[in-house]
Amino acid sequence: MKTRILLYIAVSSTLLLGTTSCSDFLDEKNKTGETADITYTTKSGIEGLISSCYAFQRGWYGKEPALGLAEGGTDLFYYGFDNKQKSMNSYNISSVSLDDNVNDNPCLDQYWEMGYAGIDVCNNAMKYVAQSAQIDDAAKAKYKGEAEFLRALTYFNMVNMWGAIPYNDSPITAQNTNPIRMPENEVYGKILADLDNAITDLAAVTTKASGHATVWSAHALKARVLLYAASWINGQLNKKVAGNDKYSSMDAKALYAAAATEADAVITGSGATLYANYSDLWSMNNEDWTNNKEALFGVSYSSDLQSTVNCIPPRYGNNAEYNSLITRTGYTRGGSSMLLMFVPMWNNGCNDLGGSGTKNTYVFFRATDDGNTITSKKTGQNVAVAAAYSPYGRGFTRYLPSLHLWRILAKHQSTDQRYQGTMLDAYRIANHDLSQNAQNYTKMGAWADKNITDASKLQAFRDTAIYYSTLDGNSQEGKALQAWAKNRYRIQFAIGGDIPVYTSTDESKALPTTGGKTVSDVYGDARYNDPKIEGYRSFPCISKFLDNVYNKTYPTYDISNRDFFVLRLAEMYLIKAEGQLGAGSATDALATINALRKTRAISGQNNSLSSISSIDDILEERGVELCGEFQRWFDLKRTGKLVEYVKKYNAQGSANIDSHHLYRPIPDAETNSVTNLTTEENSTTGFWQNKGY
Amino acid sequence: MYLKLRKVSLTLLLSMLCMASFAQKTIQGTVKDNTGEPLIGVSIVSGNTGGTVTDLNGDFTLTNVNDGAILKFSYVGYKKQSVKVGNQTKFNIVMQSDDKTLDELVVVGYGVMKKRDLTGSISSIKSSDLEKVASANAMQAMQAKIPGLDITQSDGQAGGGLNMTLRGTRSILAQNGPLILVDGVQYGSTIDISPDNIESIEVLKDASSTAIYGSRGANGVIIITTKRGKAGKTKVNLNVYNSFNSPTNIPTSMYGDAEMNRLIDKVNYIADKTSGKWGTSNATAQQVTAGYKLEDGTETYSIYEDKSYTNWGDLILKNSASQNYDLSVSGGSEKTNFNVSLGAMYDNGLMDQDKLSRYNGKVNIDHKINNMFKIGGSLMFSYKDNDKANSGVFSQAMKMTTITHAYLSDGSINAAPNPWYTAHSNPLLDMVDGRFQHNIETTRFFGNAYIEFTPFKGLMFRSLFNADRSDARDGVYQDYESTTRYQTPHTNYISSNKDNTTALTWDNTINYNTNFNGSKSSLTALVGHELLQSVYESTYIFGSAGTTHYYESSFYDLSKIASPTIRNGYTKKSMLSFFSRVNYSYDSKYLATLSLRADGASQLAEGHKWGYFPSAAVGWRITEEKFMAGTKSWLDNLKLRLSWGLSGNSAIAPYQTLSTLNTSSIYYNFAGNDVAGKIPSHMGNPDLKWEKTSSFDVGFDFGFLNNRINGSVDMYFSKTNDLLFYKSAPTSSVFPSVISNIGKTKGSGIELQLNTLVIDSKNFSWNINWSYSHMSDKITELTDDINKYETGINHSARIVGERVNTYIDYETYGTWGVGEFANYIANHKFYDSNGNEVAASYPSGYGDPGTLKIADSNNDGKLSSDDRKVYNADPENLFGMNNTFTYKNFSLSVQLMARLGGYIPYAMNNRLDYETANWGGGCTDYWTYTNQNAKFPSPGADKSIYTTYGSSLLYEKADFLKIKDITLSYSLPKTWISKIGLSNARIYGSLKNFFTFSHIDNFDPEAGGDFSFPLAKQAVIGINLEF
Repeated sequence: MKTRILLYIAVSSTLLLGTTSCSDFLDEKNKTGETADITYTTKSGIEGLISSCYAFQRGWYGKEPALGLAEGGTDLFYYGFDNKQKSMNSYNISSVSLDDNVNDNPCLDQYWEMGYAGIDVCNNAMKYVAQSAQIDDAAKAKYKGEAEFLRALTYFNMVNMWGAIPYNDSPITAQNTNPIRMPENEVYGKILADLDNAITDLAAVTTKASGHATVWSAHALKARVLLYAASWINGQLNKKVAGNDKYSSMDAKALYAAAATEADAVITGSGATLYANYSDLWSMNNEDWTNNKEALFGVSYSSDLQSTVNCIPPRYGNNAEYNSLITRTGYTRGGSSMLLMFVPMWNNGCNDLGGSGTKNTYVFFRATDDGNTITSKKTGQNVAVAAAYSPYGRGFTRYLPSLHLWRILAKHQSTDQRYQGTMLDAYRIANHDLSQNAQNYTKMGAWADKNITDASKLQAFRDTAIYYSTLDGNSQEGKALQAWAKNRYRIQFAIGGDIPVYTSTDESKALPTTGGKTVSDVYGDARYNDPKIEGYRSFPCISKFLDNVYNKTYPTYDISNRDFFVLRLAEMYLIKAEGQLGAGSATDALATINALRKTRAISGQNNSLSSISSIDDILEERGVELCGEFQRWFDLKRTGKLVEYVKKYNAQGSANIDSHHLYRPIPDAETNSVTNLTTEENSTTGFWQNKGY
Repeated sequence: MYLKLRKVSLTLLLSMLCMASFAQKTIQGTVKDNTGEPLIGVSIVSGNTGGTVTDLNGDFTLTNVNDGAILKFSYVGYKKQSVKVGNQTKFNIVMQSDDKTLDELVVVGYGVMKKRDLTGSISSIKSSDLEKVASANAMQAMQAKIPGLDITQSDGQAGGGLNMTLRGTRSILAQNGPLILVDGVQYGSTIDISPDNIESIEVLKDASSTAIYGSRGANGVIIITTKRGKAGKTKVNLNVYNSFNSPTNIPTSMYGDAEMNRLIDKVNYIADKTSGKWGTSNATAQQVTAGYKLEDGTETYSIYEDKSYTNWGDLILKNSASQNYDLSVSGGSEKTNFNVSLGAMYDNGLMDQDKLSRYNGKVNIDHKINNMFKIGGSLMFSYKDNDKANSGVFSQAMKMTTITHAYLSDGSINAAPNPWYTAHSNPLLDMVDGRFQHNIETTRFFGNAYIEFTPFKGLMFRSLFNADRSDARDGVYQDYESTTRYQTPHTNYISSNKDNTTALTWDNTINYNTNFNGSKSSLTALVGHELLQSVYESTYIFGSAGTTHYYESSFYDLSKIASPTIRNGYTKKSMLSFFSRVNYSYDSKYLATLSLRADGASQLAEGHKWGYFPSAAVGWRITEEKFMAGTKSWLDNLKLRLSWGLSGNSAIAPYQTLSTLNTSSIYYNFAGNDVAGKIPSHMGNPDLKWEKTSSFDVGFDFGFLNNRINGSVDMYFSKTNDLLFYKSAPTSSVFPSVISNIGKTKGSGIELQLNTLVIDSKNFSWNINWSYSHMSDKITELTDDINKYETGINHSARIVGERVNTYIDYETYGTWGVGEFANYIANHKFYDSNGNEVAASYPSGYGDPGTLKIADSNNDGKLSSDDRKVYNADPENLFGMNNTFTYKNFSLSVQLMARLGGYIPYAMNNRLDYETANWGGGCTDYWTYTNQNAKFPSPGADKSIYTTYGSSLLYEKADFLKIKDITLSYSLPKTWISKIGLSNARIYGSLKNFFTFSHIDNFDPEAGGDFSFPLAKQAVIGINLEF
């Protein structure tokens, strides 16, 4: 008995102790995760790292809140009915982190975070490219140049929004709760150094066929940075570029001249050319920036709109995702949202034309798939409408052109292609047969658009249903046009008339109109008693970014694969001209502007200007050429015109704007987590909030 | 049932104590209870010569007994008896039951203890209490019964879960839910075990009780013990109930005329504001609806005229019925016991696609090989098939205008029924069969085998091996014509996530107890060792899939996905532990417990893998003292308990100590090629260790008046250090939050549990079980000098000096009247932080008539983040009252619960989307010229103030009182049922969730302020049969 017991005890203690002897039981191996040191030393890992440097740009270029920050609250655009950044657009902006609020959010906190995350990836790229043994020296130089170029681009956008900002030049390995804001002129010095290095490193990359940034991308960005340095750092701040010997001695004139030289180098050397036909620049057939003749650098989106390949990188922190304003269709698809930003409620706001739907009382139907047809009242046949209506897009009503923009575009309407190429002022029904569906307009169909010469288009776009005229509806000319349009189509004048788009002829007071009209002056009936015809929802569309080529497999167009052209040749002409003007030669500037205007001319028309006298002329030309392309707010800021222009041309923002709005507020997410917060501006040890916030 | 189990276990235990003895004669006898049922396992001790226990028939035999010997009969739950042998050889003993609950056995970590010997704070619920409430989830039956344990239903979805916290919130990042064990093995928080299979549930609250679970014990431990077979007649038990579910206290949106008035008031406001003549505009319904018509041409004005409004809530929610069936068979012989049970449950939610079917099987076997060895095992199996409705549909229905028709005149679904905002898809699109399919199928095997070896009296070695494997498939098919896909992207969406978890547990313990040869001291010692390993693997595939109805192939055919995205997961966690505990008692008066556990965990970095968790506790049974003799007449029990311990929170996910890249690829398109890359996503923290909570508990157990009043009161104080939290840094340092051991919280509370037997007569009794707890917790430190952390989600924040869960937001106090703001500015002085007078600079639009008044609490003339108020999100007081009335064979139980303190963000208060969506039904107190100081802004006011500050309207007091359950049951008289072979038959009916009283009209705040799946009220009818 005793021995048995002892045996049992022996066996059980062995069992107990035996289990503890496996010493590797607590070791940890992450089988699905990867670490930087392993992944980034392989060839494919480095390629992926470089592609990620680019991917962060998709959070800015082509996205709604970035458009608001770069173009909203300027002289060119009013916010529309369903705008998601009204507070920002009206300069009611604060530093509060609104993170997940997608009803009204400038997304500054998210962009601040994304900027630093993207820069860190560039810093990682520079570190690991240098270390890698698996790629040759040529590839190393190219990759390094790309990372430098993208870091410069990101810092450039950030310094222009927030002013002095913390500057990280190597991968983050520890948290820092005492960040120091580097003065703007020093950040400019760093950006120019990055670009000069990029130009050296990318020397061999002269064609854009691969889709990577080229040496000309770097030159073009450098031209822009020099122009900003001249107008903002030297001009407005009265400082010099710091921390970069090559530029720190230059005065404004020298910088302007350098900008002009750099821009001219791109014009002559890059191989890019201007399209003779302006609308080809924006055709969906030329959306790929590597194929587009004018593009110098673009952010590309894949034509695969169904998978996750267009998504932006996720956040690093515990909130795993940026909000849907930035991601648009989230982390399941992604893509460019530019095609939605300027579209009025043309189809779902047209009860006067019979509403939106598939029945034979309707004339419009935005296609949702290939099978949708409208029954023609005239023939009783079903008319396929999908292909015809796809280019008009979905009525997101985010932004409409200001009266000022419409006027500067229309000013040269008869000589310049850019009016028709920028403003979609006529909405046409798909097929002549449908004209009789519109009971309210008995003569619809009697008027065919003479401007369309392409036979295939003529077939599809027969009859105007909605027309926006820049005229004053109460003027003689307006009244004549109104009389012609009666019973033919709905006409909306910029001001005056039955249902104007704006409230005033005075550009400083004009606002989009609200509400419909109980009784139409023209018709005497209640067809316009509908708020959807108000200026906030019914306006001419900026058509540059629309997906104007019908895609059967993806008919709904809630996102787009249109590449965003960050830098393009026309801007180089404008930089060159402004540089020449800044350096003292208005004559040279005029010649440069007219060289651009010549290619933008309607065939056979003289489109040249007679003089350039001030920066206002350059800004007007920039507005015509570059409106909506993420430049206006920065242009107005750097030239010292922001407050003046908003007061003159944007009644939505004029009441609130003052000089402190030249800087955006540093987001709460940053200031809440720093331990060196100070109220002392320009402190070299503490972290301060921008004045006025 | 519980008593019977105890009999078995005692039989087993005591039979091991059998010793050879020497005496003169052999005696025999039978022991029965006062109802004549034989008692099995009654211990009989005869002087110093030894003893025995009764067998299955209550019989016992003792040999070699002296005539002068005294037989001592003892049995848990019964009064002790002593009988002199004399010349008798046959004994018929009737044991009298002892109402004193002190000798109840209570399950503690790795063992059982008598309640009288406890030094820690442990509450327990027996199967008899669980049976009172018919419920699919055993935890639900515990609501408001255990002081300190806060259980709330998380939503009204079929199979919807519960939230549990014990003694407040102490962790920020880590889970605050208690560790849940089933038969000693970690089970997870989804309790898919039928309440009928549960013998008891113990809640270990203080650190001296939980420290034996070391790194997993800080949030308390809940031990579920399942029923096992017992020797004797085979018993068959059948429990069937039906439940009828219907909506109750659900949010509404503005309906019909109320909505129309809002549209009119909007137009009036705008007209008055434009004209400057307030109160003059008189718009009509016809004017405000002009131009708004449905797809079929129906004018919205005609809907107003013929009142053919649409009540979307009614269309979405339907009454439903649920069924539950449980069958168990148990029995056994002296050596082998078994318990086999089968269960089926069909639970239906209030939405069509919301269904859960659950099938459970369970087998327990215990076998005694000889006096030294016992083996046994159990296997639990569950299969769940859960259809889920789209969580956004109800909320979509609440947004929708009611001045519309759900169906067009031709009978088809009106896809875009909101003429004011065509982007609103009809929520009924999802109700078309096949359009929305979300199904989760789960299979789980949870089984173990054990061996117990008792080489000699007092020493037991036990080894248990448990394997837990679950497989789940979560598939979603959303048709291109379903609610969320209809407008965009108008393509099908298919996703399928398959995962499996394999958890292995191996426990080895040695238990030794001795009373030092009959001295007054007794000692129980435990040493043990445990190995845990858990591996999780998952494959997630998703993507869009064209525009063809795939109703049949649904999410099963993943080849339909055009460009599938694949994500993988693999995590492995291992833990190695050693633990020991000593319980010492002197004269049953002075009790002491010491324990220590060491946990080594794979999740922690090299050098930090091991953590040590000690505890100590003492108890003093004051009533056993001689000087208390005078109180015996009224005071049955008074015990003081003091305990201290350290326990941990193991919620560190694997691989947090390693810096890693993002698991999914980021792509960028280069000239037509999508190039995949990986970005850094996580900064590892090589110093990561457990979060540790030390807590101190002082408690009294008491019983008066023959224990008709008994209960306990506890006070606790706890401090949590090395809090697991994101160390925040400004986003300019890229990794704004790195999981670290930073910060501290503390908690304290008072808990009272009271049983009062108010009336106890022959036919009628009334028993009340009261529970009350007051809890508070506080963040005492975050990181560095940062004392506020805002999550950026729903205004929730962590603030030093405040409760752990808070919201921070502006505070509204009504709406501005006409001219009021100008007066306010004129008659007010504003000062900056330096005390200098400054001019007011409120945002533009602020102060307009009919806009929100936001408190400028620091009076600096600005609305800045400093003006915000902190709203506590957690309750302060929990109260439960469970009444049981019995009259003859009738029993009525009424359960009340109250949860007081704290705020919820009531989502319906923020449904004031000006142009596009309907408003909440409770938002009728909005500004009009004749109702100027209203709670909500005017529907016509500019919305910029509302969009920025409107979330301040959300916060409502979350207090509620609820009559949770009323159950009436009737046990059929034994004389009737025995004729048909039944030994017990009970029919019952319950009303659940029928009465709720709260600050918010038409809303049950239990599940929080959101409402994708409103809670249901249920009427239950059931029958319980025992053969």
